[in-house]
Amino acid sequence: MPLVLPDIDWLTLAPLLVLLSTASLAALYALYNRSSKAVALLALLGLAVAAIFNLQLFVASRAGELRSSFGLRYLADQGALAFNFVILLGAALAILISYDYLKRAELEQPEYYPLMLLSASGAMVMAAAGDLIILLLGLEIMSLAVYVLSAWRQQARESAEAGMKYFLLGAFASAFLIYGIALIYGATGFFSYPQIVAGLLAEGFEQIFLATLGGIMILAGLGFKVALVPFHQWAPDVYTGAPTPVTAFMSVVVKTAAFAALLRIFAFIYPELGVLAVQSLVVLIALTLIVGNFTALVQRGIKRMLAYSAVAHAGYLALAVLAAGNLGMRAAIWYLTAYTLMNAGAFAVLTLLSDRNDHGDDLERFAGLARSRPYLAAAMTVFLLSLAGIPLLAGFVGKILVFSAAIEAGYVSLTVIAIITSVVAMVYYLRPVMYMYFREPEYEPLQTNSRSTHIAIGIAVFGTVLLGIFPGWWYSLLDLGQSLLAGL
Amino acid sequence: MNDIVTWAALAPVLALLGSLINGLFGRRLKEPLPGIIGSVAVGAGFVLSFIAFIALLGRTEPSVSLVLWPYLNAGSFSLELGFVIDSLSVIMMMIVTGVGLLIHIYSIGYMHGDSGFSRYFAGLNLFIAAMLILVMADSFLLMFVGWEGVGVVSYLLIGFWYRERLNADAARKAFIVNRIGDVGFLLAMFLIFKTFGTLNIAEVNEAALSLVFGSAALSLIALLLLLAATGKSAQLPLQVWLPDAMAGPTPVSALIHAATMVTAGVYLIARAAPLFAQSPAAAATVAWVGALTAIIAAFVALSQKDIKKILAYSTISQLGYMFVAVGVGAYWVGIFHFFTNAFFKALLFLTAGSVIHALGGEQNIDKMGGLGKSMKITGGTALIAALAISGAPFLSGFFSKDAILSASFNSELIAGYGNYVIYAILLLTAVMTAFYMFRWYYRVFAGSERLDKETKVRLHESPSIMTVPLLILAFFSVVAGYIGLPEFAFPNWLAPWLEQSIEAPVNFVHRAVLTEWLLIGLSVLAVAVGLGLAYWVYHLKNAAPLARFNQGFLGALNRFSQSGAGFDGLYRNVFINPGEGTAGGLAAVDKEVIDRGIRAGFVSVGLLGRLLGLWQSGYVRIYALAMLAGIAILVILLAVTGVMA
Amino acid sequence: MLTLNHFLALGAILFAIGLYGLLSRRNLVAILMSVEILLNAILVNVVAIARFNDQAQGDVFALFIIAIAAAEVAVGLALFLNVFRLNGVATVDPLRRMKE
Repeated sequence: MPLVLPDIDWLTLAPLLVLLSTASLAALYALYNRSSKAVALLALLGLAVAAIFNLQLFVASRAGELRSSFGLRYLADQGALAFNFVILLGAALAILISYDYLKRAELEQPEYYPLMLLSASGAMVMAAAGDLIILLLGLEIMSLAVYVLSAWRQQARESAEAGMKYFLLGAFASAFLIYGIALIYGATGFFSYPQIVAGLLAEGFEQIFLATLGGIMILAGLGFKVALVPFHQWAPDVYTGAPTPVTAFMSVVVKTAAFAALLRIFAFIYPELGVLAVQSLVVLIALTLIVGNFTALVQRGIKRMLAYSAVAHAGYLALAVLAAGNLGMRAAIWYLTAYTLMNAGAFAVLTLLSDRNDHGDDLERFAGLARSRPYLAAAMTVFLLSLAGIPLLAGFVGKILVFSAAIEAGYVSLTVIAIITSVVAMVYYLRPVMYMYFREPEYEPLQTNSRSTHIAIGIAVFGTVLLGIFPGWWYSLLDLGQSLLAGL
Repeated sequence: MNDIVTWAALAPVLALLGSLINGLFGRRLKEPLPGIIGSVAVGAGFVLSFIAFIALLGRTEPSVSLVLWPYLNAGSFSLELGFVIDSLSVIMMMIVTGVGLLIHIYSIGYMHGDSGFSRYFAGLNLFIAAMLILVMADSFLLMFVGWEGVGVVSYLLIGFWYRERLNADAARKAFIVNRIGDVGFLLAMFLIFKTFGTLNIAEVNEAALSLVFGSAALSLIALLLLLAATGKSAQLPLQVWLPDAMAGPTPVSALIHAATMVTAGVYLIARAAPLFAQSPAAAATVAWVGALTAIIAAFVALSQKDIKKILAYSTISQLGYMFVAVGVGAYWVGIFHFFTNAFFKALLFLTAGSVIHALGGEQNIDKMGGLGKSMKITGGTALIAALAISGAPFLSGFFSKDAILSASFNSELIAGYGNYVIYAILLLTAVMTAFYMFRWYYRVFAGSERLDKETKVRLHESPSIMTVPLLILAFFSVVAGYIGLPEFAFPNWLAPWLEQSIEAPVNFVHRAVLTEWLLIGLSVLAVAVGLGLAYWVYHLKNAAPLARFNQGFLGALNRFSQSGAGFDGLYRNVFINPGEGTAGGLAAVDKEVIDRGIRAGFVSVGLLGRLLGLWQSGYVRIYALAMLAGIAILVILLAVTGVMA
Repeated sequence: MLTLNHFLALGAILFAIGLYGLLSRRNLVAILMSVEILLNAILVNVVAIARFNDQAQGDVFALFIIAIAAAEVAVGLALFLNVFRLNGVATVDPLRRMKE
């Protein structure tokens, strides 16, 4: 067999390489200097530089210049690049939230930031993947780092348990994902998306059963990462046990990456598989919407409530995955942008309200917050109302976009379920608001302040309101040349 | 912004600004200042609306649309946010800001000394802003923004005195019930978008007129909108939240739960009139919902003892009238009744507030009486309001109510003899309305004093900052009806004015002038009967005749009044002695059954959540097993169904 | 004669053994080993498919799986040590502080 060197497009890889080298540099630097301030700043700088490269690619792709590397295996089309922006934003917010938090909780080890960057670069690989092996690599890079971050609070049993649980179940889910990839490979003989599709459509193709089985297993593996029911049970426990900034990170970055991967394979591969591959997702979505929203309803702890709300939002987003071939991709990117802002924002507020051991996120702690910490209460209200889907905030627009994409793709009854459950959701999102504004305080509120967290909250509030009032510009930026694979 | 009308678009912005100032800096401001800021913000909005109205008066096409900004613009999805200021919305705007202003001023006196003074005005201003967005919206999307906004603010203001648990419960109930309506609105919105490809109300209306008369999609949309409207406007079967909402401060009840927000449902139907005019089934449903609500609420109002709850049920009943109007296709009449109702209903609530204020929080009408002597202005204006709502000739309520009665009698939109039945129901309701309103008046303001001693000492007329708004509202309660005189014999200004904005083809029978006069005569008679009965029972005989009846509906009413046991007693009446408790029975059904239904709903939802919570055992193994089971089920399904379905 | 199906069946059996171990063992180390068995089961499949298709891609994938398995074990053992240090036992049972 002749050895063929892959084509490597360095610009396509630039954002990723920047993140990876920043991570390595930061890890090395941490050996000599234990100041986490320098490392955190370095990490933010790395994210910024990656964002600049990403912007350059984005502008180029809008001009019609579509780049890819490794023979369509690593894509820099608009979808991937837009997802990169969301991932970088989520990572930056998480780092801003982390900085003072780690100091307060005496968890200040500078290796934290390189791990977060590594995880974010894994997420970017997933978003760019045009090949199942690359997808798997990205997923593992992302996940392994997050497992460790979840257990970052080494002296706390909750945190250790969260890391261990996440790891065990995650490895289990990865096994299914890998099995699924192996099955698709067995059926078609290929790993890259265009070749798989070509294989599936080839004359006399007989292995459709195996391929569909593989598709279902991949769905399960990625469904775990985004917390679709019944693969969601890790989420509440891990979200609760992990340090809050890490929770923020996984609730936005991990979810974005897994959805990016899911959207792409659903847009191209799944339509060619047996119908059950798509129908499975329909069932999972219905379950997710119902279980996520109703369980969130009875939670007393805000962090746990947000964990179930994350499950519910996975349901709405998966609705967009169903419509991935049509408007779903755009709607999902838009939704994830909004979700990153409002969810990271909500967790950021939580870090300022809980004590250094992450305790004290129960509803009662919110009582009277409007009086003791009016600005914090106002910010939290914006996030919660946006998550609830109150109009003129980003979450509402995201829901409208996703729902109309799903309706356009013909999933009307599923959308009706989504609408009804989203109305149920208002009850649990508005309960903390009522506590903040209409209850006498039961505890002396913590007066924790943190400049970097305030910056993160400010960005999140600004973004949530801006995207809610003027959603058009971002949506219209996502309009052109959906994917390199589209024409295949 | 060359057109002076477009300046009215600043009205919601000003209200929002007032809300922000009071919300952010209110605690640093001394007492009357937040009230003044709030009033100025709303007052300026009123001036702008009034200028817009004057400017529109002279135009052949009184409609100005104003695109605020393109909201979402891509592919098949194209949405702009904009306001439309036309003959319909400008009337609404003037009421919202005008009555709103009076209630703001009144509140400065009413909320005097309350620890949440600035918070209160922040909420009130925010409400005005949301309500203005609702009425000015040019698309269903923006209307939904206002719709949700008023809902959320109303929820916050009901729970204003949150230290009392009851209020928080009432707020939650209002919230939940309104969510059911919101499901209707959201579903309708998506269906509209799917059917018409746009959410712009004018475009939808135009497209609806060209659709097949009575098509299924149209009916479904209209029915979903009706569901939304019943939630917001407290119509059957979602009326339960309004009486409980009275737990909020009385001016809030006057503004939100009587004059403005609750009429949003009527406005929605009038705005989307072609959808209903083209769908007779949906229109008939609207009319029937309205008629049944009107009579049942009036029935319940007969036996209430809380000064505000009587008014709450009367609001529901009057909203029922408006629903009948827009249901039978007389859209301008629905708005007309909204217009007159805003004055006398706000006035009723404010006089009630004045009484509660003077009595230090007492709300039981059995412990009132004779207050007219010491509270001359409150008593006098309350009499005017009671006359107006009863439909006494030459007052505002007379004209608008008569227009509804005549429209339901003459409508051709309702098939068969349905419209005559509805007419009869409304006529009967008119008798009851006059009766319960004058029961209310006599028990509170006339007759013997039944006050506690310590309350008596405190008794005083309210300060002029509260009484002046009462006088202004009373003036309008008298004259507001003259803009919509009966069309068959008099010049009517309102109908042609509003119909420039509401283009919906509904036919009405043109009867002989004599018939029309006869109908007017009948409604006058209805008022006279109800009023006379109340006068005889409560004024001449001081409620003595009630004792002589021990069966029939007066008997049940009487027992109810005497027992004072509240709903438990009534509930017993219904089930142990069903023949005896008609009014009580209806009240009980209304409160108990539907309340229980809602509570049961709560419980089962909570139970579902808890059951699902049990699944979350904490065991890694169980989680892994659940995942495996999930995959296994899908794989088995795959094996069973085969690959190709 | 050994066919591809024999190898696939072997893989499936191994996978089932791994699943059983993962679900039934209480010792965390044993569970980690079960995860390894799961991955090795897939490895058998992949290598067999690659061999019968006469393709290099599958072998590359196999190498990736080995690398991933190694990385997973490294992280897994670190997390296990942390849990062991805090709980004093090597079983999964104490790992249910958060539930409902």
